[in-house]
Amino acid sequence: MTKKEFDKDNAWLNKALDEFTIERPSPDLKGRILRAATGEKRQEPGRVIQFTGGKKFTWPVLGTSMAAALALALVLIPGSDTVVPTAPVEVAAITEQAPLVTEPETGNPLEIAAVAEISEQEEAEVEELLYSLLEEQAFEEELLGLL
Amino acid sequence: MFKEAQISKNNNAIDEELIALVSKKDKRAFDEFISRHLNMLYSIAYRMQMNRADAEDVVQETMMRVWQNAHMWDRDGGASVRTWIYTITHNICIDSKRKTTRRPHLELLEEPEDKGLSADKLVQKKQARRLVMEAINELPENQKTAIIFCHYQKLSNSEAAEVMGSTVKAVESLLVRAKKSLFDKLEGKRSLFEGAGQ
Repeated sequence: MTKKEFDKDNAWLNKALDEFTIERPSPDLKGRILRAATGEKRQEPGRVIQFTGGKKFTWPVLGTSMAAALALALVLIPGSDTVVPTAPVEVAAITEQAPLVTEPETGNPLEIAAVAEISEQEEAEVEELLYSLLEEQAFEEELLGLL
Repeated sequence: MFKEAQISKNNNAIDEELIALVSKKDKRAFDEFISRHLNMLYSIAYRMQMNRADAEDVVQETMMRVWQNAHMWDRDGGASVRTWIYTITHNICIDSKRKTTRRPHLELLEEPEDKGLSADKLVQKKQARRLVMEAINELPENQKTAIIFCHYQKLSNSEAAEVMGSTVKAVESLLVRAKKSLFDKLEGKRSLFEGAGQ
């Protein structure tokens, strides 16, 4: 294609590119940012997580919301009992208190308690992420360090 | 033209004022600053990351850095507040891609709402959007970035160069290569795009 031909068709291409429209972000994104930045606690129920002090669990790839959802997945996803941390865990900068989650068999409270209202899509996404992470040696080592 | 320049100048002044307040940990100013830039940053991050969750994480991280480092914005350095935060967003996206290869998939669940369009037109628009997303996602990272900042964000080539830490000439070259590549990828479906906007 010559430059002349390309320029002639540029208008059409620009129009095509404009088809890639973007919807607005989640309505609570601004609130999440404000709470995370300023340390304010959320008043209404929603995406929340509680962490006790002690050993830190950080996953730099993940943002706070994904880290929270992953922590929840560690506790709640069927078959993930083997990766439930028994040591105190802290994930990134978290701003909210949540009810403790108890260990299913013993009823003892887990020292990580994560509760998040996530959609089915997010849940599936977290599950996929969890299992992909489990396949990575680095992640397994991180978990071993927690157990 | 004068009016646009005036609006832009006013926006810069407002941003500068807000950043000065944010650097003093003024929460109301930060709230206002987020409101002014949230959707724009999200659209950049979404086009870079191609899915909602990652895009929102990028925006959150960008704003966290603004909150923590507002005092580091250098008015005398010549960069506008807008290009400064775009640079932060860009760097976070790059870091994120370096750190992980997870979920390189396109999120196609989020579809634009087009109220009032017939079912056929909606299907056509969704198909057009998907094709463009795929074509952009297949571009080399720096070409993709140039398209995002110059075409979608309407930055000048010199502003885009500043954000990308590159030269104007390099950005021009990236744009030409990106558009040629997109042209080649999308030309076969040209009739679809010509009909999609109607």
